[in-house]
Amino acid sequence: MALPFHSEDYMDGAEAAAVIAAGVGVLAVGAVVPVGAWLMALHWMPCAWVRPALTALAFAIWLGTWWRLRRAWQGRAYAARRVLYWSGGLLLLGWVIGSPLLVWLFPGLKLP
Amino acid sequence: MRFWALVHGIVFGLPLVVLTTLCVADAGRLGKIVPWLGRRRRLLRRRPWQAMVAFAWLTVFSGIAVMYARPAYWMKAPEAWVSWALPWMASWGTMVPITMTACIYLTRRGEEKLVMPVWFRRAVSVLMLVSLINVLVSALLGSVTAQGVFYP
Repeated sequence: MALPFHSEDYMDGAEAAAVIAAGVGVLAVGAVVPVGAWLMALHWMPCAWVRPALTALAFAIWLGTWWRLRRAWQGRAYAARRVLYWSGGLLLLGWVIGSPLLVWLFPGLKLP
Repeated sequence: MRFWALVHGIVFGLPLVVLTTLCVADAGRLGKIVPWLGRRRRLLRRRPWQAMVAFAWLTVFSGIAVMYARPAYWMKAPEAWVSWALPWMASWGTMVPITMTACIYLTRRGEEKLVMPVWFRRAVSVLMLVSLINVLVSALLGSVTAQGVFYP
């Protein structure tokens, strides 16, 4: 669906992909803390490489999401407000789970 | 190694804080996102957005290298950090290059537009704000940690 670039209500698919991928990336990086704590507590994974490995995986998830969404959404128009709300929600969720909140709630866990 | 960790914080961390603050300050005027530093340094003047993306990522990767090349300096035991602030700083700090890269991408796309939609400005502003808060909190936590590391 071709729309003029100055449309207020719709955003280009490539830009929507970048915004959503940023939210997914932040969520993936935030998930390093709870997933790492879980791996270390239950599966005795060594702290020395849990975080770098999970961080590298999170970066790969972000780039992969961006690449796939860009290919799928290129040339299409998306409701700008909905895209921004979704991305904002993902960013906020990533922030919250990326904090040591889980470790405060469950002191038996260790931070990766 | 503790000395080099301090040098890393000063060389990479401090300019990132300054850059992000300047980016946020300029976010309202898309197209002029290149900070005042760009007008004074040749690399930033010639390749502004490439330099900013590279700097955002170099900070994180060099930080990871510093933290994991010699974990004994940052951990009291194999599974105990010197400070709780360190993993928190690493968690929120690694979010910065992702948001900054998205910001720079959107800004470059925005420069090609004749009319700037409101949602476009909002998207860039929110991402910039996320970057700034993350950088500032990471710097704060890093300084707390540095105090614990350098003056145990």
